[in-house]
Amino acid sequence: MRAFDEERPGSLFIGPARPGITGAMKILVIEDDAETADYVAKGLQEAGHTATLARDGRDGLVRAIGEPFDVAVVDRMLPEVDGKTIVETMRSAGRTTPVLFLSAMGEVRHRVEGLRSGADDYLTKPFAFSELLARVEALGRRPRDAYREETVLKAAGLELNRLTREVVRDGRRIELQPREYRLLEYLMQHAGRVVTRTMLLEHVWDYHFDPQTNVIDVHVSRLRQKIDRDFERPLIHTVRGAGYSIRVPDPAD
Amino acid sequence: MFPIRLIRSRVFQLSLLASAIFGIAAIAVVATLYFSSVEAVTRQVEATIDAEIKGLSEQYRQFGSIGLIRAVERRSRERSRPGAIYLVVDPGFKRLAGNIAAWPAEEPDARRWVTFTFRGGGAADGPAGVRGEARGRMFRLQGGLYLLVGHDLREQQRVTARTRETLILAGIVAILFAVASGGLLSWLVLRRIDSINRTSREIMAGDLARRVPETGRGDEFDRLAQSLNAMLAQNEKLFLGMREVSENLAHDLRSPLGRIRQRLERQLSPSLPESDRTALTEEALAETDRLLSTFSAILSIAQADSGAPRRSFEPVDLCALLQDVADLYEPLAEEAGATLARALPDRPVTVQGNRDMLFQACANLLDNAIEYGAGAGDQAQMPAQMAVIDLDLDTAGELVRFAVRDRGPGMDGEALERARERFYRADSSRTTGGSGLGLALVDAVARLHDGALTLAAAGPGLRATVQLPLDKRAPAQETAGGTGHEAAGAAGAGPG
Repeated sequence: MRAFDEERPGSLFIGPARPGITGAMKILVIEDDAETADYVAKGLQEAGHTATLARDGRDGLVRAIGEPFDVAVVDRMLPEVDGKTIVETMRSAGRTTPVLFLSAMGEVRHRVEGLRSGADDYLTKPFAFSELLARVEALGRRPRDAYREETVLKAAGLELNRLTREVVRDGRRIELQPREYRLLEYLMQHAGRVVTRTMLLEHVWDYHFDPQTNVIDVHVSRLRQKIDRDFERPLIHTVRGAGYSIRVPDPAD
Repeated sequence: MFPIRLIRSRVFQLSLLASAIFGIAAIAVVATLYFSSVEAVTRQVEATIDAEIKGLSEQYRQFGSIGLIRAVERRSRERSRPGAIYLVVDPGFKRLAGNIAAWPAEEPDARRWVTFTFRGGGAADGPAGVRGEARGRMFRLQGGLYLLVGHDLREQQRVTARTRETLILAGIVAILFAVASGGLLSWLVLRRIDSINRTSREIMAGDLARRVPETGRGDEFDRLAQSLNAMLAQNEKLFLGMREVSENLAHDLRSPLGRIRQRLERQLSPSLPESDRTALTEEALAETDRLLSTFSAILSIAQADSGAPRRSFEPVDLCALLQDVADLYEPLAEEAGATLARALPDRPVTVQGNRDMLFQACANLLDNAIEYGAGAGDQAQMPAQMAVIDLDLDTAGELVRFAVRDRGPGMDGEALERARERFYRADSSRTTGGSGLGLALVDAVARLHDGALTLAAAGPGLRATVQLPLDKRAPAQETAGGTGHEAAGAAGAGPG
């Protein structure tokens, strides 16, 4: 179903150097607002994915149950059948397709409610496409349980042992603060993908809030100091307008 | 007084109803008294008559008809028997003796009692020439004679008539009093209600500063007026706040929107190099992001103000939360040339709340402290040192306080007063890039948690204190965290 290691043109939204190790995904977009739907579908296609559009809840539910998708992007408020019902129905029908909720309702309790109904992630409108793409790709990369089983995460010469909490690059041990360790762990879990600052806040710090300053950037730059300073090729990359990414150095860099 | 309004007045109706109920009860009591006194009088009259009859029948037994007639004649003359009526007639109903003119036409009952009208006459001392009603007993004697012994009822009737009149008069007076007191009562109440109505109409007409007058008597109307006035004051404050917010919002959005427009417009220029075009797009995007973050701050404030997040409150360890915020902001503070001095207890300090909003509030305080307080140290009195930002938490009784103190220029007077308002900037000339919503959001979050944000000048710098009620239900050993949103369970917090 997925074609890994497929070459793919760089996305207009993400910047010039898309890593080549990611796979194209089949994504279902259930969204009644035509403009948003086209914007999302077009963006996903430009990022190398296949997007299938459903314009109302009923159509969306039929497709979500009947066809295999890697990720579903579901609007909360839909005609016919609302997003929450779609996810609940999918889950009770045994469909484990990861779901990203899109919603104009940004209230905390709506978020919690959405996630409780079985969605895997939640994004409030209006959103930056880069944020959506990063989250969709993070959701669809591989079965979620795979993360938990992996005890050693690897990216190029960098290794992170989740049992001993040791980080080694090219045989050299790197000492990290607990928070830096978790930051690196999250980046490595999504190696080759872009993670946004909000995703880092939500998953590394476990808080959902709007920082008024570039508070994450300082943490990443400290981590980068430790990971990349003494090495020829940087692993932690800043993706302009989107976030960060750990990836194997591209010969083109 | 407006009669129709008065009659429609609930107070008037109620007071009439009360008077009616009271009146009916009073009438029942009075009527019972009246009728029983009438009966008592009647019984007394009958007893008197029976006593007369007893005396006369004694005469009759001893002296026969002649004796009886004599006795009747004698008694008819006696003044000591006022109201007594006697009459003896022959079989042709011709008067033989007595003090009334003629045998009455009325028929007696089985016990020979009769109520009859009489005309005075006969004996000189009798009630000659008068007419009236009387009660009496008729007997047929041997030899065809008839005897009537009675009693003039006029005196009794006069008394009962006077009683009746008095009662009716009293009733009328009572009704008048009821109506008058109802009217007065309703007028007094309506006057107060009218003043409330008048005030509310004036407020609806746009005069938001109007208040319901209070009499100072401390009665229930004053209490109503007080709570109405408190509500009106609150509403006015909210309304004015709203108006100010929308005006400020419009003002604050105009400049960034203008800049975005300029950048978009310039991109239309065909001679623009591609690199400039990209730069313009990025600038426009960044500007848009700032606008969106302003909006989300406004929405967060509105959300906190609405109180809706209270429904999803859970126990939050404030101490662990502050450690997290401090961990997150420490590097930023250091970059800005400040150190973060934490004075946080080792034990959990639990409040009921929303951890994301509490985190946001504390993050905003640290953001401000870093923005205004850091960097001040190297120019001012402590050139060699870094500026210090204090973050501390302590509990007192049922309250928990956490405070962020910087050593920047601080605020004074009006700024301290107004810093919690939306869009207020302490120094409008300073281009800090802040939205002017940070402290407003902290304030809203504090109020959402039944707490308060206070700002105080702190020697050099500003001390922002958030005071919250402790969670009374929380067990003392409550531990931190673990209640986050498990978005994309894949990521989680990792081991440990």
